[in-house]
Formats: sequence, C-alpha cells, structure tokens
Amino acid sequence: MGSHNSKKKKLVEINHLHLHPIEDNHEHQHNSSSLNIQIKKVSLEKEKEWINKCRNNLKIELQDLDTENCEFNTLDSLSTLPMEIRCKIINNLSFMDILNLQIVNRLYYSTIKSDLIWKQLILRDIDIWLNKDLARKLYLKYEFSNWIRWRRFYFEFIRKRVCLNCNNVFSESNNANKPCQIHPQIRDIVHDNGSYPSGVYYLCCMAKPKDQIGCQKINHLISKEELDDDYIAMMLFL
Amino acid sequence: MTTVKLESSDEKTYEVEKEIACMSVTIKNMLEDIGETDAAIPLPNVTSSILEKVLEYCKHHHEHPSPQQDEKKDEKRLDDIPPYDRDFCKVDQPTLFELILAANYLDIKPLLDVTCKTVANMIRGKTPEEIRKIFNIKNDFTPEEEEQIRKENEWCEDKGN
Repeated sequence: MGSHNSKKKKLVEINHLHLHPIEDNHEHQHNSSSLNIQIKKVSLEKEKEWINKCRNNLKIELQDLDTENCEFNTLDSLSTLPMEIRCKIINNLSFMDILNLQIVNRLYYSTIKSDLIWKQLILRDIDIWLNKDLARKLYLKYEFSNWIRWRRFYFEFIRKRVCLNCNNVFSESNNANKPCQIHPQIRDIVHDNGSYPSGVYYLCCMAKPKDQIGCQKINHLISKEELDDDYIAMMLFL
Repeated sequence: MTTVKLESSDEKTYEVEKEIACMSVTIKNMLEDIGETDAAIPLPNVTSSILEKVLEYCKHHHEHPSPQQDEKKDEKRLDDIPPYDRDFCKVDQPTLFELILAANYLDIKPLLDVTCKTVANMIRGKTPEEIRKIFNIKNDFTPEEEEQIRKENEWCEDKGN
C-alpha cells in the first residue's frame, strides 16, 4: 500500500515537471515497465494537447484568409477547370462572345489575352475571312515564330476588306483619304482625230498603257455582300 | 466478346465490352500496356455516377456510330450538337463539369467536345453580367478597369463592322 502511494506521488511529480524518469530508486526498479508506460501516456497526452493547440491555430489562420476573400475559396466550378479545357470552351465561342467573356473576371481576361488562344481562333476562322489568302500566307510565314502577336493578327484581319475596284485589301480605318485610284471610264478604240493617233485609250484621261494608275481617287468600294448585316453578323458571330 | 472491368473511385465495378471501353484512349492504352487481365482497371478520378453516364454515352455511340461525312459543314456551326448528345448534356452544372473532367481524364474526344460545346452554348449571346450569374463567377475588376476593357472592346466591334 505504502509503495503504491509513493509511486502515485512520483507520477504526480513527473506529471508536474514533464520530465522523463529520473534517478533510480527502489520502487522505480520494481515497477519500471509500468511506470514507463505511464510516462509515455503522459507525454502522449502532452503531444496531443500540443497538436490540438496547433490545429486551433491553423483554424484561426484559415478563417482569417477566408474573411480576406481568399481567391481559392471563391473559385467557381468553371474557373477550376484546367486551363486547356477552358481554352477548348473558348474555342467554341464567337468573336463577340469572347469579348464579353473577357469582361467577366480577371482570370478570363488574362486567359483571353493569351496569344495561344488567338492562334487557335485564327486557324478556326481563317476560311471565312475575305482576304484569307493573305492571312494564310502570313500565318504560315510566322507559324513557328514566338514573337508574333496573334491577338493583334486576328483583330487586324477580322476587319480587313477587299476593294471591288482595285482588289486591294484595306482596313476601313484607312479609307478616308480616297486611297483607291481608278479610271471612271472604260478603255475603248479612239480613231485618229488629230491630237491622238488611232488606238485604245482610257476614255477619261486618254492614257494609253493598260496598267496606267487610275486618274481619279476615290474611297475603296466594298461589295454589297459585305455591307449586308447578315454578312457582318456572320463575320462577327460566326 | 471480350469484356473488361472498370472500377470507379468509390469502388464499384462495371463490366463492359472491350470495344466500348476502348473509346477511352486512356483505357485503351492501359489495356495495351497490361495485356489480357481479369483484374478491374481502377479509375481513381471518376466516381460511379459519372462513370455510369460516361459508359451510357459510349454505349450509345458504339451502337449508333455518327456519320463521318460532311464533317466540314459541322465544324462551321459552333453550336451544332446532335440531338442525343444535347439531351445527354442536359444535366446540372456540377455534373456537367465532372463529365468534362472525366472525358478529359479518360481521353474520350467526342464527349469532351460535346460537353465543352454545351458550356460554350451557355455562354453564347450573354452579357458579362449574365455569364457571371450563370456560373457564379466573382467579378474582381474595379468599375474603372471594367469600363476600360469595355472601351477596348467597343473599338474592336466598331472596326469590325
């Protein structure tokens, strides 16, 4: 009975000091194994307490992050998809829808800023552009260069037009200064009338060479088809 | 007819025809690597409910192979989805996104295409506010930034006409 009491006392002592078994004495030698187990239990309890404390600390930190509107907690299912799938979805959208998606959120803005997406879109849309020959030529030329800005490329080409008169490709923003030069009248046979020998001339300016630059400057002419609303809608919305 | 066993992440096993399972390039490659086996192929990224849907899709398309002609015509219309696939994709959003991830993981290209198209259709013709609402996306632009991007876009739209 006496030995039991003193053992208990010792345990309390140990518990109090958080120490490992100390100096040898009679009782200790006697019950060393059970005492060891007790001590292990005590230290285990301590560890558990400590872990719980840490856990609580961690919990508090997480809550802090939460109140600061941590981005990772507010991600929606569309935004958590891998980048390549998001690109795939964007690749199914029309030009106007992509512009709209850009305003939704920073994530989509930066995704759509990426030139890789526009490279895909150029490949997708190149066939419906009027000046696809030029676009394709340029595309093939720069396909593997890594400095080309595909976004710019797309934006330039989607609004390029072909002039009905001169067959040149132009963008409408440059169409104000009458850049297209034409002959308003046809080439026809002119009989010798004193000032000109007989021959074929442009009747407007009496220029003889067939490839003479036009004598009149006008704005580029867009085909009726291109001015058609449906056509524009097709260009933009696909 | 040979069959293979597939095991979903919640440990349900499905026995399917090899040809149907091989519509997934991932499973096809696995089978080629391990050869003949009776063991179930574990698919730790796919739950049983999603795997059931995927198998349903594969079975239907195995029985009704889609005509391969006029492929070019199909490509022109971005929102064109065959009727069966359209019905198949009429599920709630979490399921749809899980289907996308499963199709991506299992590498089933037609399923991935059709699910991505479905999501694209949900975006098509919507304003940015509507898109945010549909997918519960948070707007993290300041009003000034948003205005600036809108202006950039206006510029593109005007010149496009």
